[in-house]
Amino acid sequence: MGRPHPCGCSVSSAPDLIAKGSRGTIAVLRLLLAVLLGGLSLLMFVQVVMRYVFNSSIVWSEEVPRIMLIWLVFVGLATTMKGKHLIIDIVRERRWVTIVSIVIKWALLIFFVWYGTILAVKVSGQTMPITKISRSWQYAAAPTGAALALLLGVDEIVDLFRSSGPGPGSSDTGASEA
Amino acid sequence: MLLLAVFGTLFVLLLLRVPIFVALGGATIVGVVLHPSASLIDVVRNSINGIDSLVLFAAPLFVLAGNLILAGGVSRRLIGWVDLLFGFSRMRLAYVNVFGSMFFGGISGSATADSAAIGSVLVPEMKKGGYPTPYAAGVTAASSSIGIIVPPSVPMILAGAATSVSVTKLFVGGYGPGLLIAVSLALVAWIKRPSSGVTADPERFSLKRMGITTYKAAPALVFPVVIMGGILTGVFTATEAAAVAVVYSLLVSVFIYRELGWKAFFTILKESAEFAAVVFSIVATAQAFGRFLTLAKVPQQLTEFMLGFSNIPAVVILMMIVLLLIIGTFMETVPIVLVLYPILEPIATSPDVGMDPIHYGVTFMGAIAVGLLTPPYGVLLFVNSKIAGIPSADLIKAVLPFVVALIIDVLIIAFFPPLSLAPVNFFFG
Repeated sequence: MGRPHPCGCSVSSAPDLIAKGSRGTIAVLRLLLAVLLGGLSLLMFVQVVMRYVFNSSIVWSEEVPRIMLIWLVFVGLATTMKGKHLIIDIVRERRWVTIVSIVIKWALLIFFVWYGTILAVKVSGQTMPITKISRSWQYAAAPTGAALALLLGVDEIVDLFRSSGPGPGSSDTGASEA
Repeated sequence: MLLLAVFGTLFVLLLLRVPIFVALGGATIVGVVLHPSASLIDVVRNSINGIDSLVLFAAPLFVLAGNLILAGGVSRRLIGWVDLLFGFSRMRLAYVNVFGSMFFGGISGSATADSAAIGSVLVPEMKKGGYPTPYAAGVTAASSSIGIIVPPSVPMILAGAATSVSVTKLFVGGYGPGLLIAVSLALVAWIKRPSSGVTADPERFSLKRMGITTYKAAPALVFPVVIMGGILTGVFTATEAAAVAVVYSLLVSVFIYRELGWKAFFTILKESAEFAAVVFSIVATAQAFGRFLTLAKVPQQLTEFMLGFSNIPAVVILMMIVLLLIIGTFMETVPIVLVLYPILEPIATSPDVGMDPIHYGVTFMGAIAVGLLTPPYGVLLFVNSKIAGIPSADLIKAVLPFVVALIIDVLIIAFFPPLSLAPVNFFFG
C-alpha cells in the first residue's frame, strides 16, 4: 500500500498507517469475537449437560453469557462498520450520499458513547441477582463498542478523502463488497 | 405529527444508505426529542435491554451450528440422499433442489445460508444437466425462502424476543406450512419445466444405493430429529437446543466427515459472530424504536385505524398480508419482524379478528418470506444471481411464477389455521 518514496526507502504515509492500524485492531477484535461466541456456545452446552445429566446447574451460567452476548454484539458492531452492515440499496451510491451517511453514523455512535457512559456510571450500584456482578459491566459494552466503531471509522473517512483526490492515490472506497 | 416526523426520518435515513441499525436509532432519537415524556438515555437503555434476553441466544447459536455443519461437507451427502427419492423423474434435480432446501431449512437458521449450500452444489449440476441457468437459479432462490418457515428459523426467534410468543410453538407451527410451500414450489417447477434440453439421467433405485447414501447422510438427517425431538419432548428449550446443535455439528464436521479443520473452524466462529452482531445491532435499536412506538401508543392507534376501516376478519387479515408484502419488497426481514410483528400482533389476536397467536406468527413468516424474492430489495435475488452468475433481471423473471405460488400458499396458511395449528395442538394441546 505504501507509495515508494523518492529516496527509494519505504515510508508509510499517515493514511497508510491508519489503514494498517485499523486492520490490526479489527483482527484482534475478531479474535475476541470468536472467543466470545465459542465460549457462549460452550457455556450453554455445559449447562444443558449439567442440568440433565448431573441434575445440577452452574449458578452463574445464565448471567455471564448475558454479559458476553452484549459485548459480542457491540464489539462486532465495531468490526463490521466498514461495509458489512445491512443497508437499503435503492438509491445509487453517490459521493454526497456517502458523506451524509457517514455523518449520521458518527452522530449516532457519539450519542451511544455519551449516553452509554452516563448509563454505565448510573447503574454501577445495581448488581445482577445471582453473581452480584455490577450491571455496569453489561452497559459498558455499548459506549465501548461505539467508541471502537468511531476509532475504526477514521479509516473510512481517510478513504473518502483519498478517493476524491486526483492522481494515483484514488482507488475504490473499500465499501463496495459487503 | 410526531409519527410523521419519526417515520419520515426513518425512511429518509434508509434511502440515504445509512445502516439500518443507525436509521432505527436515529428515528427513535427524533421521536424522543419531540415527545413530551420520553428521555434520551432510555434509547441506549432500551437498546441494551432489547438484546439482553435468553431467547435471543438461540439465533447466533443456530447460525453457528448451520455454518459448521455446512462447512463439514453435509450439503453433498444430504443432496445425494434426497436425490434417492426423486431418481425416477426426468426433472429430479429440480425436485431435489426444492426438497433439499426444505431439509436444509431444518438445519440452518437462515435462508441465505440455504441458498449458498444448495445453490453452489446444484446450480452447476443443473446447468450441466441441460436446465437453463435462470430456471436453475430461480428454483434455488424460491425454495430457499422455506428456511424462514421451517424451524430453526432466526426470524421466529426474533419474534419470540419482540413479543411473548413461544418460540417452540412457532417452530412446531412452521412444519405444515413448510411442507405445503415445498410441494407447491415443486409443482411450479414441474409446470414451468424446460420443454427440451434436459438430459434424463435416471438412476435406478436399488436397496444397496439407498443403504449407502442413507449411511453417509445419517449424521445430517439425525440433526433435525435430535433438535426438534429435544424441544418437543421438553428436554430442552430452543436456546439449549441451539447449543446442543453447535456441539453436534462440530463433532460431525470434525470427527465424522473430517472435512473441517481447526483453522476453518475459527474463521467460521469469527464470521458467525460478526453476522450475529450485524443482526443484533438492528435488534438493539429496533427494540428501542419499538419501545418508543409503544410509549407513543402507535399500536393502539394502528389497531383502531385498521379495525375502524373494517372489522371483517378476512379483510383485516388480507390488509395485513398486503402490508407485509409491500414492505417486504424494500425492507430486510430482521427489522420487519422486530418493528411490525409486535405492532400487528394485537390486531390479529384481537377479538374482532380472532387469530391464534401461533397462527398469526406462522402467517407473518410466510408473508415476509415472499419479500426475500421481490425486488428492489430481495436478499435471495442478490445471493442467487451471484451464485449462478446471471443478471438479477433474468432471475426476477424466472422467480415470478414461484412468487405467485408463494402468495397463494400464504393465503392458504392464513385462511386454513389447522395447517399450522394441528401439530401445535397435538404436541402441546
